[in-house]
Amino acid sequence: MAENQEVIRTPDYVAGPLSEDEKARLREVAAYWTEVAFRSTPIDEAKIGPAIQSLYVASGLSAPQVIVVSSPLVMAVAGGFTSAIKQAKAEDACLKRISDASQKQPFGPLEWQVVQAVVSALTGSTLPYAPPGKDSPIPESRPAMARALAETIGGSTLAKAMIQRMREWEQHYQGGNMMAAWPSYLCGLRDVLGLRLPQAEKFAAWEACAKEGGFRWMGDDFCMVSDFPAQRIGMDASNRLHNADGPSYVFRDGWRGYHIHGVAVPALVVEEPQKITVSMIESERNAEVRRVLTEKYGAGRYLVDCGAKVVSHDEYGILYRKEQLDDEPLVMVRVLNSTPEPDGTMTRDEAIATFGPAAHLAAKATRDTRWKEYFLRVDPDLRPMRADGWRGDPQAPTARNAVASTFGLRGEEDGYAPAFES
Amino acid sequence: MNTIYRQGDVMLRRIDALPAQAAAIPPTEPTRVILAYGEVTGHAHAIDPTEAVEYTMQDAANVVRRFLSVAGGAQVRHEEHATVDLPAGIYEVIQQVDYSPGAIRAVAD
Repeated sequence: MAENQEVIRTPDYVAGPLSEDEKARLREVAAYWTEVAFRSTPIDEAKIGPAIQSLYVASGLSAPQVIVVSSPLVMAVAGGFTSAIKQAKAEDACLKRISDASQKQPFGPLEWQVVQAVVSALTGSTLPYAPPGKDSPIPESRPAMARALAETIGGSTLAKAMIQRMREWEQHYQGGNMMAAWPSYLCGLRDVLGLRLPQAEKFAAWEACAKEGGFRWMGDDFCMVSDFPAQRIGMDASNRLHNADGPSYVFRDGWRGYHIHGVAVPALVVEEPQKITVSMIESERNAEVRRVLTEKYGAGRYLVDCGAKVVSHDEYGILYRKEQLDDEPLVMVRVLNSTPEPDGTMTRDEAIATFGPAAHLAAKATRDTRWKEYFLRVDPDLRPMRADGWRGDPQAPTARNAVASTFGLRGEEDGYAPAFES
Repeated sequence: MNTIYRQGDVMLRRIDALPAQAAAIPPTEPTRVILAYGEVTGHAHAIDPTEAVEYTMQDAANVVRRFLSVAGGAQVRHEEHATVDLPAGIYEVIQQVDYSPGAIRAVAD
C-alpha cells in the first residue's frame, strides 16, 4: 500500500506518498502553469528569442533565426512555405515573386503576416513583428488563402510542395505554452520534490520557451514562434473550447475560432444566431454541429418550422417527431401553460386554435388572457425519466404519455391525469 | 388511481401510505418547505411548514425519493402559478425532467 512505502526525497531519486504540504505546493505549480497556458499578454521578443536559441543549443544544434509570428495559423503556413522553399533552394526566385506581387496589389493583413515571416526567413533579416490587431478581417477560407499565397510566392512549380509541407506542420511544431502539462509535471518534481536530474539544465531552456512563447515551427536554421492569443481562451467546465458570446480564441492577426462545448461551429452560429435557418440545420451533415444549430434556433421552433411529423395531438399537448441523419430522433411535446401570463405570446383564441383539446384551460378563461407555450424534449421512445438518470420502458407515442414521462410516469398505466394543475 | 396535482414543473402524487424507510427532514427554510426552486428566477414552489412535513428516503435502486405528509390540508404557493390546495394525505413529490440526448457515436465514413 502507498501508505507503507518509504518516503525518499533525494536529488536523483524520489519515491513514496506525497505529504499534504507537497500536494498543496504541487497544486500551486499546476495553477501557475494553467495560467501560463491561458496567457494572453503579448509575447516579449527580447525574452523568447534567447529562450529558443538556448533550446537549440541545449539540443546540440546551432542557434536559429527566431521569427515571431502572429498566430499558429501563420506559423503553419509560413513555416511550411519557408521549409519547402529552402529545400528547393528557390529563395531568390520566391523573393522576387513576392516583390513583384506586392507592387501589383497589397497583401491582406493576414497574408502579409505570412509573407513577412517568409521574407524574414529567406533573407535571414528579421522584419519587425507588427500584428494587425485582433479585429482585422480574415479571409473566409483559410485553405483557399494558403493555396493562393503558395501560387503567388512559389509559382505553379513549387506551390504544391509548399502546401504539402504546410499540411505536415504537426511534424515540425512544439506547443509552447499550450503544452503546459509537461513543464508543470517536471517543475513539480524539481521544485516541490527536489529532484535535480542532470537533464534539469537542458529542461530550463524548454521551460523558458513554454513560458515565453506559443506554438513554434522548429526549422533547421529558423524557428517561427507564435504570439499568445489576444484574449483568454474560452473553455467550459469540462475544459472544452467554448464561448457562447464570441470567439473561443482570437489572435492578434484576427485569426479566430468559434466553439460551443468543444464543437467547432461557423462564426454565424455565435455572432448572428438569428440568421440560422431551417435549411441550414437540415443540410448540416455533422450531427454535433446540427445539434448546436438546432439548440440556437430553438428546438421546439425548429420542429414547427420544419414541418416535423405530428405523431399525437390530445388534451395534453402536441407530440412531434423528427428523424435526423446520424443522430437520434428529436421528439418533443408542445404544451400550453396552465396559468395565463400577462407576457404570454399567444392570445386565448390563438392558444385554442393551436392547441385545440390541449387548450381546455384557456377555453375556460376570459378572452383577454394571454398564454405561453413551451416544449419539452422527451426520450425518443417516451421512456419515463427521472432526474437521477433512471429510464422506464418504452410507451406508445401520445402527448399524454410524453408529458407523463417527464415526471417518471407512464401515461396510461399510472393514470396521468392531474386533478388540478396551475 | 393516484390523484395527481401539478404546479408547473412540480408534481404531487397522492399515495396510500408513507414508506417505512422514509425519514422526516426539517423545513428547507424556517418559514417554507421548498419543493423546488426555479432555475433562474429564484421563485419557489413552497408550503408553510406548519401544514406539511417533508420526508425523504433512498429506495432499493438508490433513487432519492421525496414525500410530503399533509395533516389537515396545505397550500402550494408559487410566485407565478395559481395556488394548489392539497387535501390531507401522503404525497410523493416529483420534479419534471427534460430529456438530454446521449453522446453522438462516431460514424465511420
